[in-house]
Amino acid sequence: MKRFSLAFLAAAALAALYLDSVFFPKVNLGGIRPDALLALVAAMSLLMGSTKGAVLGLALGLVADVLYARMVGLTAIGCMVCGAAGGFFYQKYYADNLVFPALIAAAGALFKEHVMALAARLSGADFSYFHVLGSYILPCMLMTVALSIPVHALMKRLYAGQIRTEKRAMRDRAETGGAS
Amino acid sequence: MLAAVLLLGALAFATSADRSVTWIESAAGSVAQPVQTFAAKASNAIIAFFQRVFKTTDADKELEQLKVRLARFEAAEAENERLRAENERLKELLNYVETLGDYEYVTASVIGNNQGVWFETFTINAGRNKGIEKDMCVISSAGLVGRVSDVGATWSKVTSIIDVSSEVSVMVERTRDVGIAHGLFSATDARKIELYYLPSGYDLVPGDIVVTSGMSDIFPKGILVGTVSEVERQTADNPSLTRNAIIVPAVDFGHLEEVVVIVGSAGREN
Repeated sequence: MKRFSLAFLAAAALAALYLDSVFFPKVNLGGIRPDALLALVAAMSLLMGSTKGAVLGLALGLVADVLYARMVGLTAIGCMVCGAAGGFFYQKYYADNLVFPALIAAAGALFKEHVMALAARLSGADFSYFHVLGSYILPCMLMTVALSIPVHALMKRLYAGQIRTEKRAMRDRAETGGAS
Repeated sequence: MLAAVLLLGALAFATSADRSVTWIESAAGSVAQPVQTFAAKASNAIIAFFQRVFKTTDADKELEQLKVRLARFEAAEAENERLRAENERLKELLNYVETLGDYEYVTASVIGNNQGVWFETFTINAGRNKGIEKDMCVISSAGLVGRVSDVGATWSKVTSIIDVSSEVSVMVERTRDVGIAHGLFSATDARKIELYYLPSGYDLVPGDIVVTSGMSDIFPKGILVGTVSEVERQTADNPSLTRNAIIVPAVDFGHLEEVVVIVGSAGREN
């Protein structure tokens, strides 16, 4: 990946970490907040593929866990699975389609919040699953979906050159394979 | 993928118990800590600025030149207000810690919070470099905040008393009854604490003050925990109820910016 693209990705990752750890804990709607890190992983996985998306999710999730979380690994699980799942649609949809990033962010947010809920339950939290689903998990999922759309649009623009290079490489491989 | 998920799950389970921070975590936190401190302070200034801008509904929107000047003045005023508020908070904190008497303490800023509402932990910008160790008591000018759960070179993670895993030995100030305060989970921001194991026949009313009992090695005696908001009793209709009361914590965890870590008693070597 080009250095320029990596620098943008690092800046986006730092911004997502800042939003999740500093901004959204203070600015939220009664505790309901989007997951900026997950939105970024969902957006990038569609542009990078399953393996790279999973690695990105794993790395960012582990960083967030090490810096802020009590249990190391939970955020990493959610982000890694989201990155892997999102990469399934890599180069399988039209570039202007924003439905897929939204769907991946929604599925990823649902999965990650359920992992966290399970961990909280095992730690001794007592709550009604359906109450938490309706009052917290689903609203947070919707906010994450809303955030993932502009994030995907921005990252797609920044990675346009990289995407063109990869599509050209795929076309060349297909032609070479056809010729032989 | 499944193996990775299982591995991460095992890691989360292993790190949920009491442990020492690894050198990798300590190094990562130390690298991020200065940036986080700056970002936290900048965030407070930005939020205060936008709150002031949206409040100025009387400003004359038609005068473009005045709007620009006004925005500039408000930015400066927001920064002054932030500094003034920080000064007031630190003064209040200083006045509070001076009442603690024989304790040595370290002040620190909150530089990051755990994502989501499932766990209530946050990171402060003081670690082993300031003499902080695991399981040290953390307080604010309002009362008990929590305990240090992980310590790095220049940062520490604090588990607050409203976390679901937190248990604090407390005492009702009026009746001197001793019980256990346990964090109560809530999906909204209004986190409370449950009170358990009071002696049978307890006399409790809403408004009773709850403080630390001093029976644990972590929390000194007499630190304000919160105020009783609801009293619950076992009845024939509800024989399985074990909770005695709900406590509203004294500390506003949604707006916590500075804390004090008690690092030892004055004159005692750690």
